[in-house]
Amino acid sequence: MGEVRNLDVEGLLEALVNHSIDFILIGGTAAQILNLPVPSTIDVDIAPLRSRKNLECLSEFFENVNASLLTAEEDGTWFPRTPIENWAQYSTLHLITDFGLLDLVFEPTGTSDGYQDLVKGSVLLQVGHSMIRCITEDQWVELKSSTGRPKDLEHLRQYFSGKKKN
Amino acid sequence: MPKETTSRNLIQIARLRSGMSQMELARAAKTSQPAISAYESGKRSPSVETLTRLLAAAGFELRMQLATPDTHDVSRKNAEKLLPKSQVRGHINRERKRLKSNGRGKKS
Repeated sequence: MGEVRNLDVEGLLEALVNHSIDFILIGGTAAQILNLPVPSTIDVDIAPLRSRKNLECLSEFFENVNASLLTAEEDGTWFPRTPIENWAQYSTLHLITDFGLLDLVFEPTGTSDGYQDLVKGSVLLQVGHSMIRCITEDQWVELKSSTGRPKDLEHLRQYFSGKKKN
Repeated sequence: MPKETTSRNLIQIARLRSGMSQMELARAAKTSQPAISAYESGKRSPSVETLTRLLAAAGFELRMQLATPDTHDVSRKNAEKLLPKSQVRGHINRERKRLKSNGRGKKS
């Protein structure tokens, strides 16, 4: 696997929307769009709806953006788009695409049913040419608080100390 | 081994969430403000007992759990090597500017 040719968050979100994929933007890119005082990472995290139709749309999207699987050991491995059950059995997929890095998180820690839990409080935002669903600031705090990972606690500390200054 | 940052972050998050100053937390936890400052800056690490007491004084409960190591950061670091360096640098610079301009955050 060579160099990924692009790092294009807006293009990636637009491609997801164009493939009619139901998802909610979470993680660092959501924090960036909400202008929270924490640094965003260079990957896009989404919580997709786990319905048959949506998984089929994702499968087609994978093909069109040349998605490959990323692991701690491998730098990107092509994977079969069908049968869907093969890749949809995992709760998280780390992918390299033509637009950059994409993480699919079906059940983010702190939710019991991923998309279905988050959609209730999420907001619709315009990013570039696309309208996308994004978590709110409160949901971001909730999700970060739930993981207990050191780096998330660091982000929460930055968030609360930044909030106090304002 | 990475430096332990959990306790310092937990203390500061708990204090800020409860709207307390270091002095107020020190009083509530029957310790001194310099001790709170040392814990929050990472100069000193509290025992689990002390951490529990400090968080309780801010109105929180310490809960612990075991988890398998998160390999996502390793994967992402690998992937970053595949991305065009100029674009990664551009992203980092844009983020630094954003955090600086909103006046709330710290540099990445």
